[in-house]
Amino acid sequence: MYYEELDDYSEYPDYIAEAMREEYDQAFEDLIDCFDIADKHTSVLNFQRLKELYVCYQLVQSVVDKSNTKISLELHKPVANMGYVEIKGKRINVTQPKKFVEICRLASNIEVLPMTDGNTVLNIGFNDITNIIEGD
Amino acid sequence: MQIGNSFKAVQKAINAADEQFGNSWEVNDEYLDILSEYCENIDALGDQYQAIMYIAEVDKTTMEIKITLGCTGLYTGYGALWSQERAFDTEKLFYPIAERCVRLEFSSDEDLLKIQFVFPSIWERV
Repeated sequence: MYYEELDDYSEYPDYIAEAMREEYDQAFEDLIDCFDIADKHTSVLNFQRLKELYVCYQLVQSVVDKSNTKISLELHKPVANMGYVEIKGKRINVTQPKKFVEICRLASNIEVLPMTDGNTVLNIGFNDITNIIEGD
Repeated sequence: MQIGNSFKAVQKAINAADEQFGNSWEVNDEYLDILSEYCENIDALGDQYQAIMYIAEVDKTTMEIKITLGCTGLYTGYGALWSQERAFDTEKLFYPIAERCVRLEFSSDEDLLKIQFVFPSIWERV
């Protein structure tokens, strides 16, 4: 059902619908490739990147008001070579924005999204915490 | 409300607060110019994320200026898998404003993400 909704471009003119369909298919294939590459090859831990992730986890606790938020660290999720720090709460109050931005610049990406349960989630993602061994 | 020029709203909030603070406090024009530059960045960020609302208010006790932007989400870096260009622009727009804030707050209202930037006071004692 969900896929059908995504695939419905009937409200658009044909040439735009075609372009959107191609774009969506390509993005979906890229995502599958991303999971395949990370999960099906032997890889070694990138200690530098892992250290940065742990440093981020420690520092975030001092720059975000912890009274109404939950801060957690996830390793090897959603793909084997990725990890992230998740901050979840009704209100995420950043008390030291300058330090917060410096921490975010260490990361590969940040995402802030509203959730259906009324919470807000801030994910600070780190890519390449493992490196694929060449020739494998 | 569709976002327009956030500085106009900020100015309205400043004018209303200015009347309440009385004659012993005066707006520093230099600080006001800096705030207008921040507003330009907030407008650009709002345009990029098709922001649907914003709120400008002045804290009566601390005199800090709060600007709230309402959008569906915020992504930087490789977060926006479908649109690398937008993510790159976000980094250039969001980080410079965020690091100049006194406080930053993320909250949600149903499916709307509210980003509140709190800037320092622009009033000086006469």
